[in-house]
Amino acid sequence: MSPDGQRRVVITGMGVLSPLGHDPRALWQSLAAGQSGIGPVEHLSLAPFRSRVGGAVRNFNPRQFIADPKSFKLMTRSVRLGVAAAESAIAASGWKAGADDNFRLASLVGSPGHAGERDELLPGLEQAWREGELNLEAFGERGISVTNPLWLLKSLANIVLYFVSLKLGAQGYNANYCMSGAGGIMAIGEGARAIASNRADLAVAGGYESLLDEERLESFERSGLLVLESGEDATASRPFDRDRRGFVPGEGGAFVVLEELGHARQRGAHIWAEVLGFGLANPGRAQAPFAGHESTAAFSSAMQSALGEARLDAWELNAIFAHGLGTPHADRCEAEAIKQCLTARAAYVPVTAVKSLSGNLAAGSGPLEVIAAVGSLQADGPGVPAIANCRHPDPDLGLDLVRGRARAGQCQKVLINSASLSGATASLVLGGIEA
Amino acid sequence: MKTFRPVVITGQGWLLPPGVELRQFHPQATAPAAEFAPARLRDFAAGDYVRDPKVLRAMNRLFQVAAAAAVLAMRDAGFQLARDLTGAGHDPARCGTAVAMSEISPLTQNLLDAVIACSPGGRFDLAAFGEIARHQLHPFRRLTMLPNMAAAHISLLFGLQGPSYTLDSGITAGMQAIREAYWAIAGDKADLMVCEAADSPENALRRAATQEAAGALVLEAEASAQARQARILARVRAQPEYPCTAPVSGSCAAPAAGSLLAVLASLCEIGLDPPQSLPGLELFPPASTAETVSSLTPREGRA
Repeated sequence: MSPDGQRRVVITGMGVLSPLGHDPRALWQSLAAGQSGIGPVEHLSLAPFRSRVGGAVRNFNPRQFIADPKSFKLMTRSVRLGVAAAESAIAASGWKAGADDNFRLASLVGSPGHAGERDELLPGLEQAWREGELNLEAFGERGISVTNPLWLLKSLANIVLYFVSLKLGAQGYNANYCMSGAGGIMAIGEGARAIASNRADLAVAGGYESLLDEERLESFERSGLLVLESGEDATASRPFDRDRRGFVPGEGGAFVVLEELGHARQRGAHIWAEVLGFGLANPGRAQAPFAGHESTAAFSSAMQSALGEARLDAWELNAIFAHGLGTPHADRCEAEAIKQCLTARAAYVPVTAVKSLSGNLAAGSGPLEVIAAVGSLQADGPGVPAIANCRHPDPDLGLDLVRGRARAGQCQKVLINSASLSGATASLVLGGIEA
Repeated sequence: MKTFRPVVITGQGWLLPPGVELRQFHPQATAPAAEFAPARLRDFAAGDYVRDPKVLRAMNRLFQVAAAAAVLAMRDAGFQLARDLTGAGHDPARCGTAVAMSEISPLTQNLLDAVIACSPGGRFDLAAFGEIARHQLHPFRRLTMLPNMAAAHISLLFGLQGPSYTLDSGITAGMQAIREAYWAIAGDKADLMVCEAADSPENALRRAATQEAAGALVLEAEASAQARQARILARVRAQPEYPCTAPVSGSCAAPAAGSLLAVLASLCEIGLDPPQSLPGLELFPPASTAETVSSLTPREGRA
């Protein structure tokens, strides 16, 4: 992200709480080994559903990651995952408070929006629900006494942004993007732009979400977006496979610390990667209703914008970390867009899909895949991980899908795609950086 | 130093309930909108703004109100239909949306009805819910309630294929939507952005406390506006760091729309001296040519 007059932006810290591990190294090891994070979900009964697997974060102890346990009472499980990932990223960056103007510190979060816990509200509502309406008088008389008084604060859509800003002491640029699957990568891209255009010097950016919610799963299952196979099959998520049937729900959070290159070098920070380009696009025209609104045009436009901002030709890419949702529609759109962007080169650029191993973390997936892509840029990294469960690659897609085992070697330039079910699409280009 | 492009406002639109006036959302309003009892729009007919009944059916009331304000602002800017954008020389891939939403909880009335009906003693029974949901709830309800669906609907109405932002940071979200649109244009990532913010008591829990209101602005690169000889309502300048405060008198009643309506109210005062100043955002009369956004030197001494 260094066109004329703009500053260079680098990644100096990463934190992740995911089905594939609780830190970037663990994530990279899981990806290299093709070890799936998809399986039975311990904290939620999926018995009534046809598919009973999910990408859950196992053995999550928030006390290991969040410095102030008193704040737990304000956090749902998914919020804890987000805050834990953000605090891990800040700690890993080695950044210390006090050295920066707080107004030059930014925080950006891709979030699911409303964060409240339904079950905490139900006893109070039961006391005050009259003919389909909330009766405020009855709620005041009987409902409030049985409702968690912190419910409202816990439900705020920007609560992770609050905790991240608090940890950082950030008083500058901030945003809470409610963009579903595209939100997390948008936070990173816009954070990088804020630094590149001199609106901030350092930003903590990422996303979190959990799709492991019974009511949501009921809706998604009947919408045909979820894998509907019965049992507890860890091979359910099959992006780009001929027999792909939908996504597997997951949960998690992933954040990075972004810095202006000179700022990072001045404090001796370890530099993992450089953000080279970012692109956003929208379908702008109707897609097949309810199959998800992803579109070839939006994927293609976002990728071209990101490559343009990075001043790269598509043939210079070493790998694409695809959105790879695993629904027939989304994968077809994305594959077409990759072919449009890469033309004849499309058959030679390795394409991988992390969701085959992690499941769909919605706003948490983009940042998770950014951290996976950072791994591929390291000399001792996992290379380009293989797409799990892609036994019969869809012959119509015409891509170089990484299958079987990870593609070894250090990448120099990689592209990451993310999209929302509403069709909003974001692409990010990362590069390695010379010592 | 990177030069940022000048940004102007070329369209505005708003919908307010009876008895509430735009000036009451002005930061210095003497009778602020927050003092008014929550009310809904009167005689609101979504079909006046969105003609396609299939599209209307996919929208809840909140998204219909948001779309209506955006349509008003786009009409004010001279765009009735998607083809008007291309006719005016705009590339759809460089036209986008920035939307402020507040607490888009999926707790709609019929969903809450179902949840409560299958939660005896306050304990949620998933099997019972599944049975009720199968008969009473639409399977696609979660897709239609995605937070960024309002932006998607506006994009579809006008064929906007550029950047799309949906923000939810409570009462600051309206200002932040303008900020995102501003920087998208100033940074040459877009030429036109529709900013909108809306509140409607779609969320059953907020029905008793929310003012139904919506506001929208069309922001455009000054060069694009001049090229199509558009009427320019004001020039905009955003501060680089843009603090996250909301200056807004009506924001308690209309959490998402309040701050955008404050900008609209300030816009009505344009032409006065000094320029209208809101936290992080300044509005200048269109005739002023003295202001540029070419220098973004960090402010000092505030650590």
